[in-house]
Amino acid sequence: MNFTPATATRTALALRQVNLAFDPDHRVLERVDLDVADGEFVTLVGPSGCGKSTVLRLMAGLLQPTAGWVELPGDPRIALVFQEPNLLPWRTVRENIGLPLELLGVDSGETERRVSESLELIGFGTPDVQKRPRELSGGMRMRVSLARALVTEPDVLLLDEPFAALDDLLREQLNEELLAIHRERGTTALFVTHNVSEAVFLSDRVVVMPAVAGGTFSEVAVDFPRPRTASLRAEAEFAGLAGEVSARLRRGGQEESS
Amino acid sequence: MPFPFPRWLIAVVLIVPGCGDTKPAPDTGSKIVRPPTAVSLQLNWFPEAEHGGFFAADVHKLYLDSNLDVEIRPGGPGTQVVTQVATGRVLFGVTNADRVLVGQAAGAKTVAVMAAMQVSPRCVMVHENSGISSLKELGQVGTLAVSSTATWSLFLQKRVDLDGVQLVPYAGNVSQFLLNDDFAQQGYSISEPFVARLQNAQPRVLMVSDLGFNPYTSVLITTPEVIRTQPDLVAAMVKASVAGWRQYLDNPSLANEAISARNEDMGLPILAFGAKQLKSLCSTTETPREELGRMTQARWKTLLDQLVDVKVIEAGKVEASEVFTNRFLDDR
Amino acid sequence: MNSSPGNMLSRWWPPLGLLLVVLAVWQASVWWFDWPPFLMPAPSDVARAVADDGDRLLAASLRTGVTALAGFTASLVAGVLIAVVFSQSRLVRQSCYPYAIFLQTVPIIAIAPLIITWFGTGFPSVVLVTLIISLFPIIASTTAGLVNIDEDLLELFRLYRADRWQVLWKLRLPHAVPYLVTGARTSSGMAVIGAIVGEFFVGHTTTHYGLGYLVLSTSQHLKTAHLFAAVIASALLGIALFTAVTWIGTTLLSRWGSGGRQAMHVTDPG
Repeated sequence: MNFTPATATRTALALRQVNLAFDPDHRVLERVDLDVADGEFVTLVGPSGCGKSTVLRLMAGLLQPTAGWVELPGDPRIALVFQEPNLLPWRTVRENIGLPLELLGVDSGETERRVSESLELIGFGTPDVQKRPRELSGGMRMRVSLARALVTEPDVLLLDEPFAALDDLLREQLNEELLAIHRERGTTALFVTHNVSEAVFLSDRVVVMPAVAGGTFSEVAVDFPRPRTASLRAEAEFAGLAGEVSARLRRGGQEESS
Repeated sequence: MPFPFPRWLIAVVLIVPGCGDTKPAPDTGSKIVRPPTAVSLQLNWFPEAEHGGFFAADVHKLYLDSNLDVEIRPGGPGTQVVTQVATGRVLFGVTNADRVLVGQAAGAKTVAVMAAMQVSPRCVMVHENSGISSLKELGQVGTLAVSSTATWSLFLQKRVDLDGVQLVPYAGNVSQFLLNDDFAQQGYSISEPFVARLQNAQPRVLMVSDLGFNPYTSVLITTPEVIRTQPDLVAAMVKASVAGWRQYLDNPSLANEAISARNEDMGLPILAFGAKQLKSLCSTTETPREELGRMTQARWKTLLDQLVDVKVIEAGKVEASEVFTNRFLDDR
Repeated sequence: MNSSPGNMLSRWWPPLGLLLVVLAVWQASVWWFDWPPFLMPAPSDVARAVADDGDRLLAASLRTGVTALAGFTASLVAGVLIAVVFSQSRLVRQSCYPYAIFLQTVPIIAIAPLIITWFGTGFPSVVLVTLIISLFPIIASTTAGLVNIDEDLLELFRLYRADRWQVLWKLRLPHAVPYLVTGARTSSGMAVIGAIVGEFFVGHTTTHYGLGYLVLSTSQHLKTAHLFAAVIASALLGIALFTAVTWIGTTLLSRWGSGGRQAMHVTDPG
């Protein structure tokens, strides 16, 4: 099933008829089609084990499909933000953020500059940049992880439940910061989460994945204008859309048990 | 009470025969046959020709004839015979005279009651083609493998100028000797040369006794306590052991079979060779065969002085007369 | 670390107190049971032996200490290199690792003649024996540290197309440091034992000796009090090396924090 993106522009990344099986009896994805347009913010929701993280990894090139292919027109720069901050404990904040540039062979002067830019983007205070991960709170670590993802100025940002371990207040704050970055950089974003409210707040489109491979994908368009503010969460329409997404989620769950 | 005897008399009659030490039955043909006395004899190494006479006494039933049931315990590297005898863990031991003196100085008091070998078999083995004909010339050799801590080795290092010789630990076999003509090593004249010749080497044997260091070897020891409380036992042991050594020198074959059975590494040929060499080591002009086992104060004193000289024993700590006795040898 | 005088005192008096108690009981037992000095000397005898033989003990300790240090350093270098090789290939690791275990168990007395034949006797051979004895803990712990890495971190590197050398240099090696420190602490103690054992079998002559020679000669000549003194000296040497390595390790690990705690389980690399 193919869905036309809400804002009709060129495709930034897509899965075409992708199958993925880890072993012959364990198929995770079956005949999946997914299109994300340039600059779009799409969120994937679905029950545990439905393969959301797998989709991200396919997009990132960390996994290869068993059938079908991953389309990445123009060979975009991709960054992935993991569920855990995954910072190197022996490196300072600056050194952690600079890691991708080091690996890509960017010279140190340029790296310095881009790291500073990234730090500004996530609003990280100067005295903290020399600290090591163990001296930082969970929220700060996640910010560093985000900064690291952004330091290569990616065209595509993939995020795998990055705020799941944080408390609600912090999560909402980071959601708003993420949207600000998305607006400023125009990065295409594919976000995975369990949290329906978060999904609706962030995205242009929420894609609901089926519980089992081969099941039906469903989609809810989110039309709220940008920039989106915290007050949006209180509006009735917001709750309605969130309810709709939840309903689709539950239906997917029911299909599994039938 | 129908019992005619008082109870205390019965008690005495029952208990007394069980008391008292188990002495061996006297040879005067007493009608009371006692079981042989269990005796332990600790060797200072694996069973080899240097213990031949003791095995001969065992195998030719000379111990049994003296009503002794001797358990010969093999030793090995690290066996401390003097300590074991001094602490009473074992009744008799076989060791060398220098160990007796070292033990005495450290407070481990034992007494030598017979010496099987008058001449120490300790030697240094060089190659024939090395041109070295006496220990005094040993400084010419390239490498010398000796135990660095043994008393004779300390004596050798003091008497002979070994500057320029590379001293290495003795590895326990002749392989290095076979590979290198500029190599000399320690040994016993009754074994290593034989092994080397078997491998087609030409060894020359330089006796350490020629340099003046000549401890009595394969000495039978026990404690002053045992001598005091069981003199008959010691006498029997010495007598049978001396007889065993004479037997071994006359005809070693049965004893050698016994040794070989208890030490797989000793084949009969090398034991036969050893037994032959022992003839000139056990009896000398000073101490002929009839006096086998006898020791002199002078020799013990000389050894003691030598040990003091190499600083193994402090001067004045040991009296030579206290560590040996010939009294059990007077009975022939 | 809180090193106020009161704190220092509270750390030191328990072990010191225990030592005094042990010494008192020991001295009393020797007197009470009348143990012969060649079997069990009293602390006073040992103290006298130390006083008598002081400079010989010191010289021997220095020599053994230098040997142990050299062997330990060699095992660090060799161990890390071998661990790096092991980390790069599962096949190599699975085929060679069992032989590394063999290092733990090989009796030195058996291979000593081989060592003498190839390397002669003296300092290089003793260092070699020390190396053999202290090598395995380094290999085991460093390999674990290089290989037991969170899959997520490896994915992070894969994401940015890092090649195996970048992964080795920027991920595996830094990750392995806490593990290496754990292994090094074990290894340092064994290095002193190795130096002494090495001296027994491939070592020094009467004029050039370390604690190993002293142990041999005092035990042979039944100078048991002197033997105890030599043994105490070797224990102190071991403690000194262990403490030095621990201190260096702790300083190094001040960057790692929680990563260091993780390194305490060294598991078998797959």
